[in-house]
Amino acid sequence: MLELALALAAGLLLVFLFYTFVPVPRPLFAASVDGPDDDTLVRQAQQGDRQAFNRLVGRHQTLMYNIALRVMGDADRAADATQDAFVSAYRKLDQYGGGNFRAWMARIVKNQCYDLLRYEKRRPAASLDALLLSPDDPPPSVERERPEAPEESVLRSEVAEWLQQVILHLPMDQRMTLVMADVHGYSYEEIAGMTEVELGTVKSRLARARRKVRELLQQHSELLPSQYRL
Amino acid sequence: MMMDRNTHLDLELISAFLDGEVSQAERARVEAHLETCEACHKELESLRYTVSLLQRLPVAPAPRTFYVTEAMLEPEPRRDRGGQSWIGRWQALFGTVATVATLLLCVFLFQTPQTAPPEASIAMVEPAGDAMEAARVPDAPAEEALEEAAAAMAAPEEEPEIATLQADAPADAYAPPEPRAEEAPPAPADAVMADEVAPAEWNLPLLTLLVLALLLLVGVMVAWRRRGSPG
Repeated sequence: MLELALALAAGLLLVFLFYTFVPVPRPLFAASVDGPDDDTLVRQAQQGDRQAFNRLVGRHQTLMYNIALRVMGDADRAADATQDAFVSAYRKLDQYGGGNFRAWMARIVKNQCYDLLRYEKRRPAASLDALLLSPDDPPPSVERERPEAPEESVLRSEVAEWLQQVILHLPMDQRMTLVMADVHGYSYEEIAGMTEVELGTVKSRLARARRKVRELLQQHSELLPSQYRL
Repeated sequence: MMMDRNTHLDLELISAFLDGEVSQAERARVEAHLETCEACHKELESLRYTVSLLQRLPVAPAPRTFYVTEAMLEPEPRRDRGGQSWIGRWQALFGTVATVATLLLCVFLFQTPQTAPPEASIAMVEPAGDAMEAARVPDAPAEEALEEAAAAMAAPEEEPEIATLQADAPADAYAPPEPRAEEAPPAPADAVMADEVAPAEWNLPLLTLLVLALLLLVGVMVAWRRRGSPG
């Protein structure tokens, strides 16, 4: 009887230690459930607590940087836009009406990207063909022979780069909508809030953007590995 | 948005259907159409594949933290500051236009009293009396003209009606008299003086320019004050 009680206690101890010290993987973009929620941190930051705001930065910076990266197409400029967006958000925290800090923040990032693209001379997007046919790269036929599971969760780097260039060929409004919806999984309603347009406009922009991407995929399908062809 | 079996589905509807962003009624109609329309079914599948590729784009780790520091909050970015007001963005243009307008105003102010033709204006600055006669004689030496001009300047009270013109006499008296003799016609000096003593007329363009210059200068001052103020 005593042995059974000891074994039970040891088992409970092991379970306790496991859940205490083994980190539980979380989705990359999900806000941390530890600590106060976003709106509570915003209220603290509105009272001058910059550390509270920086906790918000830590929660959302990867998503915001990735939005900027997909829209701008350049890592350095995306980092600049992200930093400027967080500074701008801190300055106008009093304008935050509550509800969805992530969507509010994404709208600021979007505006920051728009501003940067407006002030900078927009870099012409690289040729789609050149990205996969540059002399330094192996021929596409060799690449295609590499075995690869069709259900691969992440695209190969050269295909991802090619797709990024396709995104950069879209008009700015369509690009932003496509990135929000298909790359980052925002709902139509959230995108409408971020881009400050009607729901119908989001639908039409997204449909046009997808059609354009699909057309480019079909036009350049011979450059893509077989499992990526339409 | 047509659901008729004879017409294909709109791409916007297929796209929304793919995301589940359609009403129950729309969903039912789209599903019914897809069962019988091969073309729309292929359209849906190609769109679904395109979206699946986009969803598989890799997530880039943030290259650094984007914490907001005190140093970032102190200096206002120049671009933001310029965007606060239209006058701030255009203050450089305001400054340039105001400067040009002011210079034009000065030119107008100096030129307004001189309504005489160019020939007369040259004659106008001739030293009066003996100096003018000496200038008309090509053979007269420059020293004589200079002495006579100096004499004319020394006794301005003898000819009070042209006192305003004599201020320019010494500077011109040093120049050789030959070109003046060629350029200056034997116009009667009295006619020139009659034009000069006429009061200056303040025309409308001049007043408009004056008001414009003042407004622009005020605008620049306001912009400058806003630029210096915090926030």
